Amino acid sequence: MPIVIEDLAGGITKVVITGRIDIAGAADIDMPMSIVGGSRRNVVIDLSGVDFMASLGLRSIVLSGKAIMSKGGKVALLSPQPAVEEVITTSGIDELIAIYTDEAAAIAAVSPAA
Amino acid sequence: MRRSALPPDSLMSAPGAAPEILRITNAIADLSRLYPWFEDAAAKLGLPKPLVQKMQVVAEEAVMNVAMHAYAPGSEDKIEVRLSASQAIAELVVEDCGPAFDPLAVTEQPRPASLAEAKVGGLGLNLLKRFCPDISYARLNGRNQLRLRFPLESPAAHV
Repeated sequence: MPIVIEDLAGGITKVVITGRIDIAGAADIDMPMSIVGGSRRNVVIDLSGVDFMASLGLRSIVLSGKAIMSKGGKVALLSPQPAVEEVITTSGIDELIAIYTDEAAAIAAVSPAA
Repeated sequence: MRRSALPPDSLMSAPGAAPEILRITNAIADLSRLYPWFEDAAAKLGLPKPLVQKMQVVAEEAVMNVAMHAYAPGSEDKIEVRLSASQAIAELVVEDCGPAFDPLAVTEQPRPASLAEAKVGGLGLNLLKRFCPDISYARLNGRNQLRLRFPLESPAAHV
């Protein structure tokens, strides 16, 4: 499975996505991401293990992010590889969901107290 | 009436040898074949890996646009994807027989000010236009033809 959801201390949820998020990969993460969007409020999405992602994968992340933020929650992206980061920045998503390269900083940014 | 033959101009302007061709419907099982086919076709044409990644982002966007917006779920209509390369250019062509749609005529979506305002659909077209330097659209024989060209860097370009 290309996605693992870990609930950390302090109400933080870390979502770790891995592998190729192509059309088949996006179908695999769609349902888990929508569950995260519906049930979690403070979320770090770790993209460091994603080798490839295009607009379907991005769509899944944006939809989940929208759901989280609509409840007053916070979401951050962690360490995308350069090719994936280019897709994110070209579409302007980084202006809506901040990208962090340091896990502690990402967790601090989404923590309920921040 | 639909013509199954390639439109005449593609024979004139497709670079290089015979293109690699994929014909799929918008069923998920069919759409999932895009990437394995692309990897295989790009390897046969000897395209460099960073370019292949970029072309795959564009191919997914162009094909999913047709799959989600031009054809109804369960449609038997085909999306045709062709990949070819000459010494200077790699070319991806996506054809469908849906209603006329020129993505180049769509005004680029402004960057959304907040995630709540972000419209998921428009962002993909921005991505397409920014990732591909040379896009042309034609309506030929009742088909939409999107032609996406990418320059191939020759070794001489680095000297």
